[in-house]
Amino acid sequence: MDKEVFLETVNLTKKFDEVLAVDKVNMQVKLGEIKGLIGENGSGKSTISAMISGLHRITSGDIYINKKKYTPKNPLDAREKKISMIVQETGTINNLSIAENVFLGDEVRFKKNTFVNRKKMMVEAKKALEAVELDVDVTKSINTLNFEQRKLVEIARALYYNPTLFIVDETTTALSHEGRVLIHRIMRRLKSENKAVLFISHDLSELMEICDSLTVLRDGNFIRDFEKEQFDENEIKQEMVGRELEGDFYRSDYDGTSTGQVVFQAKNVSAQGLKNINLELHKGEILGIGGLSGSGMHELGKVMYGNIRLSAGEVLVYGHETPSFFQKLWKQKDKQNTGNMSPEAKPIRLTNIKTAIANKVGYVSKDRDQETLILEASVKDNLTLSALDKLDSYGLITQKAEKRFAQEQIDSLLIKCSSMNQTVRELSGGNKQKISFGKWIGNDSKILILDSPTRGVDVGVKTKMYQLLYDLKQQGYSILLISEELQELIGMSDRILLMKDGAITKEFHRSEKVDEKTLIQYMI
Amino acid sequence: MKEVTHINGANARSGGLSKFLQFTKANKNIFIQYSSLILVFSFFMIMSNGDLLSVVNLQTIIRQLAVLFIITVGLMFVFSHGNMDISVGGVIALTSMIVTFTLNAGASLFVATLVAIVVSVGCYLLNIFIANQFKLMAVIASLAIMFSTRGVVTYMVSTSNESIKVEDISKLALFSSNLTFTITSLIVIAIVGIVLFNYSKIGKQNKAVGDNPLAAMQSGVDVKKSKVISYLIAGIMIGFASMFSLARSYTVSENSGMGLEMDVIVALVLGGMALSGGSKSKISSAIVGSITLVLLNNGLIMIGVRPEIVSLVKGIIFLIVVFFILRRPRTEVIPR
Ligand SMILES: Nc1ncnc2c1ncn2[C@@H]1O[C@H](COP(=O)(O)OP(=O)(O)OP(=O)(O)O)[C@@H](O)[C@H]1O
Ligand SMILES: [Mg+2]
Repeated sequence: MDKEVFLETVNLTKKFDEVLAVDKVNMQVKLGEIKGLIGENGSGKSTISAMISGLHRITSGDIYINKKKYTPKNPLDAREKKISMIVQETGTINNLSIAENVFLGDEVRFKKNTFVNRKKMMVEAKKALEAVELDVDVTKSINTLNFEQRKLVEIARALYYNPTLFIVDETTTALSHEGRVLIHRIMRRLKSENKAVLFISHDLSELMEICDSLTVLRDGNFIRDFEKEQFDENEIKQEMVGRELEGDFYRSDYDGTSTGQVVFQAKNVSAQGLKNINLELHKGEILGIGGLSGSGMHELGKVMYGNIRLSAGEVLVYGHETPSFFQKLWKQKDKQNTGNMSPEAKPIRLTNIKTAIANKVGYVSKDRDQETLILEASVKDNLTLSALDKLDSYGLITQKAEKRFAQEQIDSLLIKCSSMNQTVRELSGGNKQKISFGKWIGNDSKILILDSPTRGVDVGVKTKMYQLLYDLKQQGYSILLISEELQELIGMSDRILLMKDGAITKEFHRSEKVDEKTLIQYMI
Repeated sequence: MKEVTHINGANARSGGLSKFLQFTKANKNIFIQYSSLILVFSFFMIMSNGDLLSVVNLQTIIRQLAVLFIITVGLMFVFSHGNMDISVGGVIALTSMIVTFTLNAGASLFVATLVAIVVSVGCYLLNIFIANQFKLMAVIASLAIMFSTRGVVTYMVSTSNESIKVEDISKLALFSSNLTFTITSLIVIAIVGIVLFNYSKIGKQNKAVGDNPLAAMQSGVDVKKSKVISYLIAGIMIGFASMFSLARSYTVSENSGMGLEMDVIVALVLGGMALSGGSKSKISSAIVGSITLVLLNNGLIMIGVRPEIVSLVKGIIFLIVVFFILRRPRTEVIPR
């Protein structure tokens, strides 16, 4: 028996000025089915879902709901048709309470006479959050929640309206393992209730497991539909990128030995959510950190970057300090006298971001929009911002040097932009991620703290990034890789540390025997 | 990026127009910037039968321009942080007064200029110090500076028996009647401003801080230092501008420099600057904007508009331009 079509697009097209983001796409979403949408970064997935949920105007073509034409002018029109969407970027608004964020744009619901009935709103918000198992004080500001919890608030908001079509745009990579399990469960429940789900993700194995059918997009064009029984990883990948993917995904060696030279260290560190952490990062090592939400792994990244105050212990970095102007002068004199500089590395206490950067420590935050990128600035300005010192010659930064530097990153990470002067806000999610990654790879940081560096990037670019990380490792860079993706940790790390409730509970060395199941055992 | 390959007949015909529309949309602020200059210029050229460009009037314009031009370029560094300053009038009054005392005490012009820069830098560093120390918005701190500088000047003027004025006005000749020096100064300041703003770490970090201080910090920008540097630059330029200001009247009264703070803001807005600062800020806003405003002032007076009405006209133009700048399409702000 055929399932009933809920939503259908006919020649759906979206143009942003000169850029054709979506080009005559025909697609169907059926009731009682989870539909996957896959394609490289910038292939138009978010743009399609934004048009369906009334965030973007349609340029041409039509959308039909239950065979009736539907032209949403704003998100409220979509809500009326029972369409809810979790956006790829941050969809919560800072400095409002959690409850207000749950009912963003719909406060009227609680209006009695002219005032909003706060109490009722709190109660309802609490109820909405139960669906995502988030137990927090809803009167508190949304700023008190971490990145993942904020995503859960958005999910709660979407579910509250009892959607017939639930759109999930690239959310799973923002969630930890349990969060993922939760959202999978929600999607399956909706399916069993004969609702429709449109699911966007770059995790192909996840899509193949969850979805009943898949639509592949490339450069804004519809390429092909796959039904569940046709699913084949290689074939789907090929349709996605339009060519054969070559090379290994992760590194292929199982050599986890390192130089033994410690370059970065946490000693008995306690801080917000962290208990007595000890870790050593060696030169030329990739050290993976994994855990569930609440394990403190993201906080650990911030602590190592000097971004969270310690309550006990210390973070030490071993001598990469960039000499100050006067030291440089001094050293030059030294050089003339003795002919060499002392290679002795001595530990420096890292207490703030300034010392971190001076010692060539770089940090890619998970919350790229708020903490890493300058959304209003151009691609070029974003890429060069943390490398200004490198580009500076005699106090001047020439256009030429900047352009060369930016172009190198754009080419090596395949950043899709109309020009390097395009504002970053206009880029697709994955391409933004490439920029926050690229901005630290290009400058001279010798120690990199990468929090979910491949979040939301497509397989092709992921391969590139892994290759880059491996090259960096070979060149003696040291990398702290914090990630929710266990496969990534297993695939790339020399050692893996697992965290639970703010403490490190288990260490694995690189070996063929380590697999996802073993890791999960120690995480929960 | 994917090219738009299939342009059909209808599109091809309207291609030229739509290209033009897109171009204007993409360069809206640049458009405002130059169109207001062109508009003001052509309007008064016509109204004054070309007298606007007469040698005498050009000289007047350049003299009027000197002060506003220099302080606007200087304050650009503060405004691009998204900060606002309303103390500049007061600071200029105080600086002029101290310079007057210095000159009257027999100091050379060189020493007096140094004193001007020191005083003005002092005021601006105090401004950012207060803002940082008490975690105030910089504009509130500048309000405090405005009242205190203005207060000191008013007090001194009211307690001294005779008016405070430069006794030997020939000392200030360089700033008052040497047009070559004035023009050279303006060009040099424009170049310094452009280089610092566009081709140096200072300007680039400035813009990043204006947009997203958190991300800027995590990218290695010392946010506090960046702010202090911007106030330092403003201080130096405003100190220098004080010399031109004093050289126009030789006297200091409680009204010296009054209204300059508003002129700076109007000039920036006329120059297409979004007052929220950030990456969209352009140093050309300061340059073009201050020229536009001076032309406007000069032109209005020339065609016989009473000075009291000039302010009103400025206010209305300010509103219109702000309206155009703030009207951003909705799609620019929604999250995806
Ligand atoms: N507001 C905008 N202005 C200009 N171009 C835009 C805008 N929004 C999106 N684009 C462009 O449209 C194309 C499609 O973007 P979209 O966000 O739909 O990609 P995506 O498939 O969701 O990619 P990702 O996997 O990285 O999230 C991209 O090339 C992007 O640069
Ligand atoms: Mg997207």
